[in-house]
Amino acid sequence: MNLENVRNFSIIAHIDHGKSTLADRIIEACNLVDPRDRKEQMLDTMDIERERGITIKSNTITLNYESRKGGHYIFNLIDTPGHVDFTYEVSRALAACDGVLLLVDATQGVEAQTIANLYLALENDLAILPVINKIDVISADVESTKEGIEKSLGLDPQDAVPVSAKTGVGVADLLERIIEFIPPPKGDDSARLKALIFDSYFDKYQGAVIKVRIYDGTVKKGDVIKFMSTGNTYEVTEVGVFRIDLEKRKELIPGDVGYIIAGIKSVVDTKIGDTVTLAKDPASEPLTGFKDVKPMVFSGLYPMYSDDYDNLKDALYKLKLNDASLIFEPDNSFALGFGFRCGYLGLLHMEIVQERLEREFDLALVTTAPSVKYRITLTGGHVMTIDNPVKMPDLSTVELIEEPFVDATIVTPTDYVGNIMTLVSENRGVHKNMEYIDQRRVQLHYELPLAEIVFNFYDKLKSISRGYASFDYELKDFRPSDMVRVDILVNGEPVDALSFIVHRDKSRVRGKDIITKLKDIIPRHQFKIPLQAAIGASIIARENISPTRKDVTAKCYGGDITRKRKLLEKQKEGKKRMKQIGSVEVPQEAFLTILKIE
Amino acid sequence: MKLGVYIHVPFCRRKCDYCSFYSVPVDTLSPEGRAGLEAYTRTIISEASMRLPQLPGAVIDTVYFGGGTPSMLEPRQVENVLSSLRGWADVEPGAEVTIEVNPEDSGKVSAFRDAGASRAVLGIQTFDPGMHRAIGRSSSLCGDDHLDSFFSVKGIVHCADMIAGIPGQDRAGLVAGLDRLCSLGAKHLSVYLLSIEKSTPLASRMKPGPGAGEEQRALFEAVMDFLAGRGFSHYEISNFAIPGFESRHNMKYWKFMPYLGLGPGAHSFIDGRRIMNVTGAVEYACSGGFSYEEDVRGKNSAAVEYLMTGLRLLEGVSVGDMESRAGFRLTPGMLARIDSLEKRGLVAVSGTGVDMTVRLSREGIFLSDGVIYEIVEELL
Ligand SMILES: Nc1nc2c(ncn2[C@@H]2O[C@H](COP(=O)(O)OP(=O)(O)OP(=O)(O)O)[C@@H](O)[C@H]2O)c(=O)[nH]1
Ligand code: SF4
Ligand SMILES: [Mg+2]
Repeated sequence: MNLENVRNFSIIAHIDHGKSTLADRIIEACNLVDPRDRKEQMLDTMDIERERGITIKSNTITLNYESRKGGHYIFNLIDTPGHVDFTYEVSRALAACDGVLLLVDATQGVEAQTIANLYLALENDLAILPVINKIDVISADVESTKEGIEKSLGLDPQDAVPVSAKTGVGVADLLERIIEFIPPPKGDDSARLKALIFDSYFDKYQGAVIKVRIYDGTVKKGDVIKFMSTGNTYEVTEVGVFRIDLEKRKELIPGDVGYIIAGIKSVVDTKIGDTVTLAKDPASEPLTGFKDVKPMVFSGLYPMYSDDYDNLKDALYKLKLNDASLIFEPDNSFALGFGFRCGYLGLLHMEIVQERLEREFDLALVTTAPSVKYRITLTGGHVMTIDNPVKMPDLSTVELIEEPFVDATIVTPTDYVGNIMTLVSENRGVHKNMEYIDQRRVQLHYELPLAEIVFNFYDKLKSISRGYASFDYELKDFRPSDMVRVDILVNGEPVDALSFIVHRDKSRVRGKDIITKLKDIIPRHQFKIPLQAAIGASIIARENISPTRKDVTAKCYGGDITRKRKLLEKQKEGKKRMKQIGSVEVPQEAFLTILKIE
Repeated sequence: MKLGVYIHVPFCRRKCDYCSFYSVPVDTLSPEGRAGLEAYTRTIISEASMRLPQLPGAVIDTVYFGGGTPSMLEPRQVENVLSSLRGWADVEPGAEVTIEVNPEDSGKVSAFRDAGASRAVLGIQTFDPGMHRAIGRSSSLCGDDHLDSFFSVKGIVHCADMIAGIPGQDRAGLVAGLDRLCSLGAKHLSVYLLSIEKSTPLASRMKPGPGAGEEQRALFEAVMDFLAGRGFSHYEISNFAIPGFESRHNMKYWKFMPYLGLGPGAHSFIDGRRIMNVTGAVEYACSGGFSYEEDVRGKNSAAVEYLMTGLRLLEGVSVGDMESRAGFRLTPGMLARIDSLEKRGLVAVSGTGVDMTVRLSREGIFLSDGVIYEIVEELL
């Protein structure tokens, strides 16, 4: 196929603006799927995505489109996630594209991630076609949406294509506009192979399956390929494109977005952003890869059962193939044993990683409280960064502690500006400025400590704005702050996995919150258990778990001793889910509660 | 071999809200209900005829009709079952024959006695109408008439079952009830702490509050103190008796002695093996009373069971007895734990070597689940 007839594009937008639904309509218009097999948000293939109704992974699909004006086209469409925590998915998808459909929900208008995604597309020099979605809804306000597209996105509202991804209205016109608006890929099939790895996943039978965009050259079965960053070589066993399932092809040519299978069993060898070339006639320069991900939050991840450490390790490597934004390194806790310190792009990301590990690899896990990265200057002048409260040096040796601040953008209807101002100042934020998007809505800019955002800012923002405010942020700089480490002591013993770093002004409240929660979770013992929160040697909050006064079973009837013995055996099983802190049994949930605090 | 025989009667007129046991509702007034109980009795007799001959030399010294609601049986049916036992094994002349009786059946007690029963256990649970409603007890509230007809029967040992620790239960009322039973001549009282079992109707409407444990304990301590003053010995966690009137049958469960269970879901313990009959009443009837499986236990199970049941007896367990009955000697690890429990005042230890005895202290009674677990943990 002539490159002139290929279009590679992503659908990008704020969360829930209808990307995956629009993808459904486009897939239908290209007749890829038998009408009987259609379902909503077809590209959200993971169980977690379907249960939560959000896209987590970018998904690629190759479509054949017959233009109304004649001509056969190939569309390589990538549906992307909208949530901030998965921005890295979007930016990698964009590397495989020449243009984007930037969707705006006409019932909501431009939102924080609409703006963030626009910038990503601009950075990649992509053609940006604005699409106004959900015009079927009565409350849709196309005019205000156009105003937002012009004022806050700086795009020409006359280009905007109105559609309803739900009813399909306008989709036929949109497909024709894609052909006109988005440029075809460039590339030279006689040049040396250059293919960018933008995603991958692990398959039990085939090993790593890599997703590539071919820039130059061609690749086919039997070729020996080389990963330019490692120099490792593999023989290609299969190439193809993504339809609903994988579809084998003879070869991949420039402009193609497809997959390569080459018996890559060692998952550590595959690096997202690496360039694939041919071993016998390699390209001289690799393509520019991706910016390194900057994890925002860190937490400990431990197997519930210590025997599972190796399984967890293996699972993390395999999951990383499919989630390039996950980083991890071995870690070790006094309370929880061997595990990993992981870096995530946000709390949702953290939750999803844990859930995928548990589901896809059948593991039971314990996560510790999330922390951001702090920069610490010691009295000797030595500077260190820590993302684990346990690593915090003794305060007497510390000259300065700095915490990360972010530039935050909040888009909100004007009605909630007052509430938001209050929330921001409660969270140590600094107001920068405010711009009108349209008559009803504004864009607010703040500087906020990342630690507060990680904590529960987002949920609060949603609740004080009845879900209308949207939020985006990026790391700005480090600023000196009066941070302290709070330790939690159970029966006099500090539990390292429960320590956290917090601003001194909030330490007492947070410490109290946590021990109050622990009080409900740690079962009563035969003795009294004091719970304390402490900064160094000074106790800032305390509670007691009073001893059990009654733990006795009434009766077993008719000599059914078996049932009673089985209960004891079950109790022993249950104990495996407890962590022993001194003479106290602490249930694993205790380590999670610290995550969930109002 | 001395043998206890347990006859399980898994029928009730209506299910109690707190009950998590398997039982089948039967209407004794309907012809179908009566025919069902008749068929059930025949199956019990056929099961006895198959299983007793496999135990040559067995001498039955206790028989216990438990349930469910065994007092729904006709005295004639009880008599038939007992005579079939005599047909297939020796029954000691002074054998203890117990039957559980619900208040509405108290008029049948003299007939049960004539049929061969020597003990009757009245399932009162509570005298307080409010508590009776609160726990959803299905049988009649025990009133003066019931008490009269029950205690007026001579030539039988009168026993009763009570429940303590119902949320909101009044201590004085509970003790007054026990007082009345003592005065009427009860020789054996079982007082169970109410436990709210998962997935019972009670569990859906009653959640124990944070102070529930304390409250139950206070009630039970009042019961212990009162009954001690009335000359009862507290011989098992939930059981009190005038000395000499302890339940010999139940003692077999706690002391690792053999028993044969007949009826749906009945358990047997013979030659160190545990056998469970099929639970369902219909499956049981269809199998002609001959469908059971063995609980195949690990090598430490005998020791676990011995300690788990033996420690419930307040006389405690003796190392020598454990060695001879369960073939097990306490490990150094277990001895260390017993030592630590003693230091914490939860058990009392006396004697040394094979004469060593371990028993629950007063505090230990209330924490017995944890104490027992701690001792046997390494065997699980
Ligand atoms: N009425 C109406 N509803 C729509 C339209 N497009 C999408 N929706 C609904 O909006 C919700 C979100 O749609 P999705 O397609 O999952 O949104 P998304 O942008 O893919 O969301 P993320 O992937 O989580 O960012 C779903 O309930 C859709 O049914 C539309 O044109 N009209
Ligand atoms: S009478 Fe006994 S067995 Fe029957 S339902 Fe009530 S508590 Fe359960
Ligand atoms: Mg989606």
